[in-house]
Amino acid sequence: MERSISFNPRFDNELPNDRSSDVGYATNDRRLAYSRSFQQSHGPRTPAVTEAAKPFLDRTVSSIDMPPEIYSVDGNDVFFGKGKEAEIGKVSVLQMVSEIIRVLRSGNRQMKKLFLLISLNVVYSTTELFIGLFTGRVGLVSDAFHLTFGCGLLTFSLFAMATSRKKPDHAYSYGYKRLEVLSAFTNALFLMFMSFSLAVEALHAFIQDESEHKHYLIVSAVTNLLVNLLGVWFFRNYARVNIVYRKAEDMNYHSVCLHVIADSIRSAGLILASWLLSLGVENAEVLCLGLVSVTVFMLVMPLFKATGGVLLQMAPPNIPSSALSKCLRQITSREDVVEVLQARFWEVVPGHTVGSLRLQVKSGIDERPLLQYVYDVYHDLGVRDLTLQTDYT
Amino acid sequence: MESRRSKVCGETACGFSTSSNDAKERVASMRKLCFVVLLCLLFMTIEVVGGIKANSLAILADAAHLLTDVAAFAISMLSLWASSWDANPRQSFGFFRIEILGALVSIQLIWLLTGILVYEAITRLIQETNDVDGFSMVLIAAFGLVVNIIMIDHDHDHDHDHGHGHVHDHSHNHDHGHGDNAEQLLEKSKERKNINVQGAYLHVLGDLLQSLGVMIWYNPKWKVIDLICTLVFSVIVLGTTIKILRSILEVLMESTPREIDARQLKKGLMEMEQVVDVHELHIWAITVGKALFSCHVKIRPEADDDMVLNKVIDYIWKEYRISHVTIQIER
Repeated sequence: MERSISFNPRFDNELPNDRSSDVGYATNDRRLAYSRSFQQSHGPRTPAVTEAAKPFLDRTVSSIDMPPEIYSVDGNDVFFGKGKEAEIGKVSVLQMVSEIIRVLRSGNRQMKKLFLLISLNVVYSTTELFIGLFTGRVGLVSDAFHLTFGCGLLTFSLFAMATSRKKPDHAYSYGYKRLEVLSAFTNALFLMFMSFSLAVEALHAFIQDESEHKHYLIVSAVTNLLVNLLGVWFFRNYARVNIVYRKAEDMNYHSVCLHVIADSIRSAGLILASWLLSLGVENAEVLCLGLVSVTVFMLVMPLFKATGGVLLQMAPPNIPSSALSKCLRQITSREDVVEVLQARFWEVVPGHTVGSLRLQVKSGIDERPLLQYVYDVYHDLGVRDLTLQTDYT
Repeated sequence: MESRRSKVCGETACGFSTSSNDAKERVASMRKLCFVVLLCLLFMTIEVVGGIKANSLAILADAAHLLTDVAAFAISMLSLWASSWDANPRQSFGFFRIEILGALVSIQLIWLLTGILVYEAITRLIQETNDVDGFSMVLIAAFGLVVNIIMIDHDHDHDHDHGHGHVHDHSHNHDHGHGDNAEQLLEKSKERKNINVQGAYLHVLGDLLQSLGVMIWYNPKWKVIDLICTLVFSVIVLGTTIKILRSILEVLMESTPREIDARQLKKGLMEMEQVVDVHELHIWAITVGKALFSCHVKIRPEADDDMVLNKVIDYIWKEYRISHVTIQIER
């Protein structure tokens, strides 16, 4: 089963610095993306177009990756190299370990960085946990737990990055890219939980009115801050609050970046609180924790809303509703169309819009020019997969 | 021919506006959740009062835990209510997905709470302070156990009644010729609970297990047993969430619902005489139990569009009970 072929001259992840200046990006994308069914039903067009229809490298394939396999007809999953399809939840441990090794060797640069970050975090949190357990210091244990949760989430992000490269099969007909959106949503959700729990902690400190100020926590906070700043450096291209998402990976990387930023803000807040306390400022802890909580919440909200919108199958945010209604008017203005029964658009991943339309048309007309017209109209908006049902009166 | 198509449309009411069956199910689920929330709130106030009077931090901590439970139930109820909102141009499929997202948030909360419980068990092990009134704690835990059992019982009972009566009407009205697939689907839908109620049920189960754990810890000398019990029960609770998490994941990933085999459907379509090829076949669920279908069908040049369209729509409805289809006929 095929999906749209897209050609992106600058897709690679190796030049992260070019990312911010992607003005011409979107128009490139839209002009050269065609769906194969469109090609099939309307026969050969100009030579330039059929050239563009040749399959280029899928944009998720980086230069280090193995060359893409040919899509198998009966939906066998080529990625795992086995005869039967591997559903997400049914992988044995041995398979997982060999999978991890293969992923590491063939992953793109961002994945390797993320893996490094996760391993650093794991090492750090286990040492913290053991030190805390053996010396009986509760603060260290709680910090270690918090870090472990964060690590778990980052591992899920990594898993999403790896799995999203799989080809669509008969169970996941739209492919696995949406997993990245899901992991971004989970990250955003966890950050919201973190901001709530920080607010609760601030409230707790306010009510109890005693500072939980422990010296050893400073060391751990500083180390935590350094590790997270390293993470921010790795993902520095995504260190913004509002990003226009053009691909699925954008959301995932953005969520990872926000995760490390939020963690570093939290550590910085702890350091600031203890410094202020040592200066003798009253309620420093309450203030700092409250500030951190509000900041994290405001950082995460746009990502949360955007990922939630994609998961809820909202109309694509980059297509304004006026454009959509204009298209509908254009279609109804044609003489053979009686009315539009249903028009739905949603995004599988940011950048891949799917639409389904039902038109009521006068009986006896040839639907081919109408099909082509509708496809053209929506193609300009960037809707690549369209299914159009024509009901005859 | 036209009347048949409009009947098919009317089943889930084109535009996914709520049908009466939906509303009934939603009201029943809301009622269940309401009962559970009120019970929780009542129990929480009892615990807060009792904890302040007995000056027991543990009981107050348990009350705080119950507060998070109430929050989770509130999320479930909110998502149930929100899923009844009408569709609008930005949200063309309606808000049915919200209940899936709400269930996801709920399950994440369970995971978070389980982690917190494990952390607390570990800190209890380290801290070596023993200023709790063991007896009153066990008493409150026993009370909690009873309350949780009531809640679980309430959750279970009503579902079976509802499912049964509804299904029998359906199976008698349609042909029995092509029925096997359809019968299977109906069987599966009988056992299906609303996903938010399932999530709430898991919360209560987790509470139950935790109360059990506290009661086992009656003898404060067995501190390690407390930790082991907590760990074991945490693993059990996490295990129960795996199944619901899988169905949430499948819906959110727009995958083909489990009960429908896409390959068989494609084969069945290709077997029709006028159909040459079927491609861009997508079947996905907007929420558990509501599937949509879209594909491109290539037919022979001499075939009649309208007739093939109706045949395909009929076939999909009869065999797989999918009423929301969008089919592009090409030559």
